[in-house]
Amino acid sequence: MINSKEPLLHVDHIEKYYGNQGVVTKALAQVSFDVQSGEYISIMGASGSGKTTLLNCISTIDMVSSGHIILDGKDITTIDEENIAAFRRNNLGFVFQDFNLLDTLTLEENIALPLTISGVSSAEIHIRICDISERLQIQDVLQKFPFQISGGQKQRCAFARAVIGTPKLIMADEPTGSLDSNSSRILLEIMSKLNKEIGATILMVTHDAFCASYAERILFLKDGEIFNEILKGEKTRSAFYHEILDVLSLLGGDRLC
Amino acid sequence: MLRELSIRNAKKQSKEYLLYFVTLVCTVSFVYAFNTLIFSDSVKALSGLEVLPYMIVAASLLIVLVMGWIISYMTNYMLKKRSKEFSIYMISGISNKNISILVFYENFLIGFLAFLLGLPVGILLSQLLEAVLLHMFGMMYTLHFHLSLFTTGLTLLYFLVMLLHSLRKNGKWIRKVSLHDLLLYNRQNEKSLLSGSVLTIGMFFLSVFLGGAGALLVYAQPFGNGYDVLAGIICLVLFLFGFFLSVPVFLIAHFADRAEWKYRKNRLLIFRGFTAKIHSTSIVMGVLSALLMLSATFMGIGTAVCLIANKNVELNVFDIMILHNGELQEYSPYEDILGSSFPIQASHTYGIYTDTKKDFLIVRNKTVSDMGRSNYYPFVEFQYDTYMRQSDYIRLREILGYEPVKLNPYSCYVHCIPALEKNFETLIEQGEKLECAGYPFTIHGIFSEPFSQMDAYGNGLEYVIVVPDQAINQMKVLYSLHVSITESPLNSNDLQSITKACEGLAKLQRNVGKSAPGSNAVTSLIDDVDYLSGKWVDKQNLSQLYSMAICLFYLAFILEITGAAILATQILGDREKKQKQDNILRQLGMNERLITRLNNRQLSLLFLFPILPALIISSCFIYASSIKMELSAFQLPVFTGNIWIAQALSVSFIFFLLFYGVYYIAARISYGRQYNN
Repeated sequence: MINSKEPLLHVDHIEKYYGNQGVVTKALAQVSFDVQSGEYISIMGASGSGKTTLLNCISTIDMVSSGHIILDGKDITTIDEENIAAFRRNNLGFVFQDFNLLDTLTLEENIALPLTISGVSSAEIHIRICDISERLQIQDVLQKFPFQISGGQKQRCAFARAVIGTPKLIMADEPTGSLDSNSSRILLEIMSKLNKEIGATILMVTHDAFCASYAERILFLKDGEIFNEILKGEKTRSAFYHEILDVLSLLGGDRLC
Repeated sequence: MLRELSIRNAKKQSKEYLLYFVTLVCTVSFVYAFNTLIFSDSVKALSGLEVLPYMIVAASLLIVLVMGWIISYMTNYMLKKRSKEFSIYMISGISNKNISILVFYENFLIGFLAFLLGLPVGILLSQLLEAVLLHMFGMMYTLHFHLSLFTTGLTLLYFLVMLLHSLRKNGKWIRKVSLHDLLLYNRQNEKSLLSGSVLTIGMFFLSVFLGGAGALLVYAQPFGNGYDVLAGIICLVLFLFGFFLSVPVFLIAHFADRAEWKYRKNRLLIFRGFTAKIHSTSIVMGVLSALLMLSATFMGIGTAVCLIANKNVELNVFDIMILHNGELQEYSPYEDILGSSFPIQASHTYGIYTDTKKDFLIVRNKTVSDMGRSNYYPFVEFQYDTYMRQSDYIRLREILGYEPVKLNPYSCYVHCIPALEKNFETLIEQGEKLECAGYPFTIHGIFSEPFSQMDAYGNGLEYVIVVPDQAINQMKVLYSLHVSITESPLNSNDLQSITKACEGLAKLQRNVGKSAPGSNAVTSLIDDVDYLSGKWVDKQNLSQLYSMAICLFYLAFILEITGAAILATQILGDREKKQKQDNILRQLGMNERLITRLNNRQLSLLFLFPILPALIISSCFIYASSIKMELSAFQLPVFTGNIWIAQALSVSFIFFLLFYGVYYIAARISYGRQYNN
């Protein structure tokens, strides 16, 4: 599914600093990479390596200190406050470790939320919810509230909400962080399936090698810089998993957390 | 260590729950201001207000009871919100007892600061209140700021009772609570969301039925005794609680499946947020709606009481009236004293006469009976029609500044209150042989301007027949009157100095009477003296009504600020959840303006929702009480129609909503600040 002609996302020498004149912390240093449309890419790194900062910058939640991020030909570092919401709505989908579902809405309503914000008709919302809930195997729990279902179902609901608006880029921040191994596996397989079936471009931040092994390409961050990059290619997932572990050991033997 | 922690926490809490803190300050200031009236020398000087201190003490005790419960509830609510913080203290090895001491210190500190701040505000408010009260009785008000030690002591006592009750109760809760309970508190709270059933929907319809039945019972009083009002009140209270317990489930059952409706115009978030909030706070909503209902009712009844009293004063057109019973009298000694004491604009002396005819009295009594007032006591002096000479009438109209009228010297006329005008017209039109000493009545010869007729011992009792001067030769003098219009209003001191200076003159107390031997009629002319009455004496006689109104406003203000504070704290207490929701919406691409608009809409809905049933119910109570009060205050209605009730309702509701609006604006600002932070 990788399209090597025009990258969907082009990250160009971005830097991010925190703090003031007294104490400055460099979170990202000259990070550059491309993501092709339909690609499933993972970013790995130790705690404090800058992976969430990178995700926040790409998702327009945070601003870069320098450099450019081009998504589908548009430099998102130059979008003003007025237009940023519309940009997120039309281009990005989010999945978080703690699901970020609204307690007061049913699962169906949580999934429908981005569409209602975009002003999609209720008939269209219904069709899309039926389709995505079936794909994610949550059609039986659509009328339930988040507190009535398991973590795995919550995260599938969050993923459904992220993809229902057919965004150009889906960003997942430690999506399996709050799930047990079985739920994690189900979610990752569904994400992989959707990546292949509907060509969803996924950018996932994780510290879990097993989780990352579902991606096609992995970027390793260390101290705010890209340390390494590996491709799955024709390798089996198991072989890729072991390769990831090898790279992690090269990172300095640090246990990722 | 604990002390430092409590001071830091107290600072933090006062910032977090600013509205709660402001409410404590307001409570202290209101309690101080109203209790100042008990010890104020200027108020003590007002005769007729002897009952006011007792009323204020009774109202204060009621406030202590209600506020004690509310402060306790609010403190508990805030403590539960801090369950995470307390669990960290426990994990760090601080015992439950020490945490309860910590909470005691910090709440005591907040209370102490609220008391210190409330006192100066209370002093300002007490001056305003005193000025209004003295103005009401025509007294001069002089600005004097001083701290009354007695009032401060009493306020402190009330406040300590409220605060210590709350601290004791919550201290007990902290000493008993387990680490497990604290850690699970938020989750338990979350799980209480929307678990509805058919039974709950049934409860909704039942509550609406009870509300309707209660309103009907209070409004129409079909059985005509107190039991229907009592049953109505019980139905309405059940309605309030039943309504708030069931309305979210009813709304969800009705709207949640309507995709076309809920997915349009961002209704989904408002609808779900609103129903969830009402559901999780249904009991609190019921309580605060009841508080607001009571507040609006007290305010409305207080306003109605003031309107009735003011109308009474307004209809009494003469500043001074001196009555001499049974014969005409020379009033020149009184005139000299009055003239030397106050600038008199105009005065006149005349007689009120009686005969053995009662044509008009029969119509008047029938009108009174038709109005539902059959059990009144008749006056000994008003067993027959009362009369006045045409020349006296023309002079009285002249000094009152009324439009001059040309009277036929051979015809009779009637001056009555508006409530009798129509029936008297019919009587004159139908009674062809109606005459007085051979003089016929003129059709359309009825006047109804205010003429000091609303009560006995004025220009007749609700009516007087104006006859040619020569017609009174055959009549008996009922009493003579000397009336004066003064240049300026008279106050309590003036009235006191008149009775002191004029020997044999006593104030007419209309509410005091004795029964005449051998009849069921009563008289207020008990002693062998001349009686002083008029606009200002009657106003003094109504001071009990004013005292009642003051206490009703006192209760209304406290209950309203309490209700509004509970609501505001409840809404603002969800800050963390709300911020999380706003972040999710931002990530989903909702712009800031829309998020703010949705939050404001939800805040407005939550503020509006509890007052709607409260105002509807209080309208019933105000309407029923106003009708009753008007009938109790006068035998015949002094107001034309029920427009005056609408006036009482609108005035009180405007004040109520203005006061409520202050809390709404404060909550909105606070909400905006939280949002920006």
